[in-house]
Amino acid sequence: MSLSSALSIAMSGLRANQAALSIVSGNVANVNTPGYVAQTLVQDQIVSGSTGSGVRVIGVNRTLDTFVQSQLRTENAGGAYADQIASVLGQLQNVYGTPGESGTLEAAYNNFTSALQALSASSGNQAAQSSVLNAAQALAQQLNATTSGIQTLRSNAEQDMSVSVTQANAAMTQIAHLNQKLQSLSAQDPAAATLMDQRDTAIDQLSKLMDIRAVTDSTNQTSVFTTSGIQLVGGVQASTLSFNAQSSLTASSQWNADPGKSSVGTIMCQLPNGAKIDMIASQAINSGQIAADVQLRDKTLVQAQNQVDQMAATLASALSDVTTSGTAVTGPPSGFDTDLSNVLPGNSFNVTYTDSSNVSHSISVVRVDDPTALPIPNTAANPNDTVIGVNFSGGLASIVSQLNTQIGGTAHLTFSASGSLLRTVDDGSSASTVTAASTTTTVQSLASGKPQLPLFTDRAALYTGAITGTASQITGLAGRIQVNAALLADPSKLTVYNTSPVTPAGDTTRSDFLYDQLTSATFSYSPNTGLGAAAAPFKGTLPSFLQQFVSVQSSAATTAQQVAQGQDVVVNTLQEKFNAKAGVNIDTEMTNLIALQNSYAANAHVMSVVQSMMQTLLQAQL
Amino acid sequence: MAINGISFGNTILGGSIQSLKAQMADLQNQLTSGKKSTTYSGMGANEGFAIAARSQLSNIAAFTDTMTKITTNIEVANTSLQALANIGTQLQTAANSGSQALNSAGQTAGQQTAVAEFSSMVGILNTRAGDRYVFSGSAIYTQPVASSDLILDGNGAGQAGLKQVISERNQADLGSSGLGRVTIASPTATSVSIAEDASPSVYGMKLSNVTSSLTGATVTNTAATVNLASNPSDGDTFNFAFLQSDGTSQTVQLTATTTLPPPTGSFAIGASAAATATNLNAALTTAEATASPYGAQLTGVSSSAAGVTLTPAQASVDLGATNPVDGDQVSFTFSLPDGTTESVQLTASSETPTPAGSFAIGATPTATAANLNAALTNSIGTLAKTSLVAASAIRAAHDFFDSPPQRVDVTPPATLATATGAVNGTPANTVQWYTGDAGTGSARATSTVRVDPSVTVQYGMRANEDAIRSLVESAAVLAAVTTSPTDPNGAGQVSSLNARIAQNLSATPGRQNIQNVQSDLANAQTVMKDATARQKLTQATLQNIVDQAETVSTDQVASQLLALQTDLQASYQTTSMLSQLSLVKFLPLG
Repeated sequence: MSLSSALSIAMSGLRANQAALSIVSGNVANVNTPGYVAQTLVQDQIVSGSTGSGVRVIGVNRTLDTFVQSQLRTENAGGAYADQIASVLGQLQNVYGTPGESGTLEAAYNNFTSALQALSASSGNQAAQSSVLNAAQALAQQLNATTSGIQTLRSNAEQDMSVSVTQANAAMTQIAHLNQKLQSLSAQDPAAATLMDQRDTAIDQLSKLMDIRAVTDSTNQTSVFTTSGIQLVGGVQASTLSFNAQSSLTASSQWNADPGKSSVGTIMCQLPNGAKIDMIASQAINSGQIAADVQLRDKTLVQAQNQVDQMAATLASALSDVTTSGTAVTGPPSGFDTDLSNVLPGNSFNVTYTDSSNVSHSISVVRVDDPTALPIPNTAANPNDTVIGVNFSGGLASIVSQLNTQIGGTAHLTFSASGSLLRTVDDGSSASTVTAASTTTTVQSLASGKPQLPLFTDRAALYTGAITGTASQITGLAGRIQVNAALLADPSKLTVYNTSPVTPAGDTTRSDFLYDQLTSATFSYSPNTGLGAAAAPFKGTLPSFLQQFVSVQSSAATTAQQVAQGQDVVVNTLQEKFNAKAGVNIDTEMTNLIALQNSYAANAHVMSVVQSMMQTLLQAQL
Repeated sequence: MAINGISFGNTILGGSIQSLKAQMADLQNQLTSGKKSTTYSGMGANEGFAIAARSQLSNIAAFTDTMTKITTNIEVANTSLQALANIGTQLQTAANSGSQALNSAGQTAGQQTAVAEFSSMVGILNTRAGDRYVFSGSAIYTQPVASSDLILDGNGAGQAGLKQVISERNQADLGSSGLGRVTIASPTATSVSIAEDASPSVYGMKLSNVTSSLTGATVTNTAATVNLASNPSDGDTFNFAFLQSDGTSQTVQLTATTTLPPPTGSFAIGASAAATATNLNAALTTAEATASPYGAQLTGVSSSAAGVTLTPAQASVDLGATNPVDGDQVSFTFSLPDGTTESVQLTASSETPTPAGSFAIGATPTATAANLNAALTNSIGTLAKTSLVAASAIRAAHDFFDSPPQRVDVTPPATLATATGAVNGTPANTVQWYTGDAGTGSARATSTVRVDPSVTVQYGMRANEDAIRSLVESAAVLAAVTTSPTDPNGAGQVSSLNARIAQNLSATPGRQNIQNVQSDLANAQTVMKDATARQKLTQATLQNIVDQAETVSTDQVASQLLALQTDLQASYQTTSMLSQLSLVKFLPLG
């Protein structure tokens, strides 16, 4: 034992104190730095002679609760997802307007029916006619505006995905880069702590974009995977995400697993080994902002568009479609003759028959002239009913052969040409009896002698609901619907439905028909609107459909808002919990500071005592 | 939104404060707008009901507007109908009690009033409620009735007016002999016969009956009979058209059959053409009696068999070998074109000079028959120039106001005096008095409007409805007929015209009158009143639903605001205190 060893021990104490002081000052200085994790000094005692031991600074420790951190990252993804959904659905609510005020679909619709009702009271009056047309135009424009609102939100989602993908790439690259730097550093190196803070920040950023899992191995290399297992960062190598953003989306821009048919962007992940994975098709991203954007762009907002499209289509068809019964053929075999000449693509020919057990079946034959669209899905709600598509472009002989092939055998019906008419009779096996045959056609002229008229058109074309290989006419109809230009040029056709003899001015047949169709006639709505199911489609009047889908949207927005709020609470609580451990607590730091101050003074005192002892020793020798 | 800033070192506290501030802003919005929110989602769970309720409210508002409009229309119509009814009463008074003094234009004072009233009737029938003609049926933008001058006088360029139609009919009804298209003859020295000049014919007087109390005389009354040139075969059909007194036409079809006994609507084919004709005539008499018990005129015959002719109806009185005694009477009854009947009654008299309405009993039945012939010719001539003229004018007016108007068919060789048939007047040759909607359905149904989802009211009217048309006809006849002041039969004409007009203007059970139309409209008003009352109730309920779903109570929001303010103040205070609680504050500076 020697005084000099005491001195050197005190000296090591002073060094350790200085190091600790620099950590405290670092903690205090970084109290507001995002992602900064409070550090503590790691020190150890060292033997510096026969007795007593000095102190050695080993490095720094980050005060981190990794369990909370990983939980926080999971919830971060969920929170970002919920926030994005809630925010966009909130914006969608703005598209629907303020209840009870103009600029809403319901107000435009109610104005239209009121104007029609007024026309019934003063039919033939030009002012009443033009107010009906104005109201119809306002309704069409409201549908157009709603469509453009929805499509703007979809385009925003597309843009947001593009931005998110860029951010994700930046974060992934940074993680790989930091992994590389950390390779040569020990975990307790003060420089490593800073790098790890940066790496955690990058991972946190990534966790908001998508659902990820981060794994740090023994060599302090962090690999990042999506929860579905696709590797985003593997040690020093990062995958690359790419997104082919489309500038602006329309209702017909739809995602498709087949890249040739898809007209919106998709996210491709290129792994370091060169393999490519379609992240949307493989459903690799299930949470986070990107998943929310995909959900909004391809499902939620598409459904909102389907709702207004369905509304526009029903509105157009309800006023323009007429069902014409066939003429009975007395047998045997008995059946009906039907004129197919007015059946346009999308219109249908319908047969009802009863089988041997007296169960009624109905077959709806939709005219589908595009062979690539055939066969069409059987959308009939009742299992006894069938919907098939038939190409009418080949003429009656071709229709007859298609019908006999497709349904003749199973339904025990025989189709044949009877002049220019289609004859539908039973096949003589007594297995079926034809009870009715009719066509549902779209009236093309404004004065056909029938109260129906094509009041709304698909731009300049007639809306018939045609189905082609690429799209159905219904898709995006709400964005294209307009009031028939011919009717705008001749508003008197709102009353005059016959030209010879000319409908008298006081005849309210047409306006009454229009009013009835809009207020009390019931229709069936496609399940892709989110209302009803394939087996039990939603049926109701147009106002009730409007009410239903607006209610569904508003409750979806409310629910999303509540979910987002709940998620925020979870995220905030976890963040708080995380901060309690990892954050810098000034009080703690000040306490440490006082302790260090005292310790420094004590060490210094030890030195001064050693010095005085040395002094004493030297003086004694003298 | 998660708070990641650490300015207070406490994200939960910061989050809560933000949330409180957001709530505060929301409540302030609610307080100023009175509404829960500006979006559907913000309105809460009952917003669906509010949307449905608003749609119904909008319908009710539209119905209310409609009813206001329709009520105005009905009130205008009612005023017009009342004015028409008043004119009818005035005309009746004029016809009943008017003086028969004729002015220089050949009209009585009552007729001159009728000219003015006819003109005002036309004006009333052309009434508009707003932009629509009330009496046009469904042709609401077409003036329903031509001007009164045009109706009465025509336009001088081929379109005949009422006056011309009356004049033509007058000539056709009177015939060239002025005896009302009957011929008087003496088939034997002691008999007098009277026969219609043609059959079928729509013009002139029609023999209806003859009765006699003449001592020793034989009276025969033969209806029009069908003659067959050859025996028809089984299944041949014979169609007989009858013009009835109300102007409608009815067709009776009889079929030749070999079935015995012949079923209804058929007659047996006999051994010869004559025997079959007897059967046919018997069947026709029966059919005629059921088809039109009174006043029908046979106006047409068509058959699938050839050679069918008609022998006109005739009646004869054969005095035989004995002279009638004083006071014996013979009476001939005629149907006139307007459906009325008139009788010519002659009394055998030995007074000198022979009084009016009598014939002198001569020395022998032959001389008496000659006297009877002369007296009959004279009386029928007078009847033709008085009652027949009036009846003809009324009938002509009825035909003129028919749709299409009926004119005398003067296709050569027929002339006005020998015409037997009527022909439809065309717009080119006859004034069309009614130009509104002429559909066959109910006039009320021409204007139908919905006043409730399931209730419609009908309030249409046509100027050619029976009630209005008969009123117009009466006024028009009075206005159109002129009588020569020098005509010895003038007074008779005027009085029979007045009597007929007065009769036609009085209410007849089973015939529509103005009051019927008014009560139809009153029903429509009652229906609307009920609908309004119902809708008011519904409206209140629906408004309540909307208010409950969308509006906020000011008191509630104000108290919530106060509570929130307290919370927010407390939070600020706490935050401020927390920010002071740091060891740094308590460390000595040196």
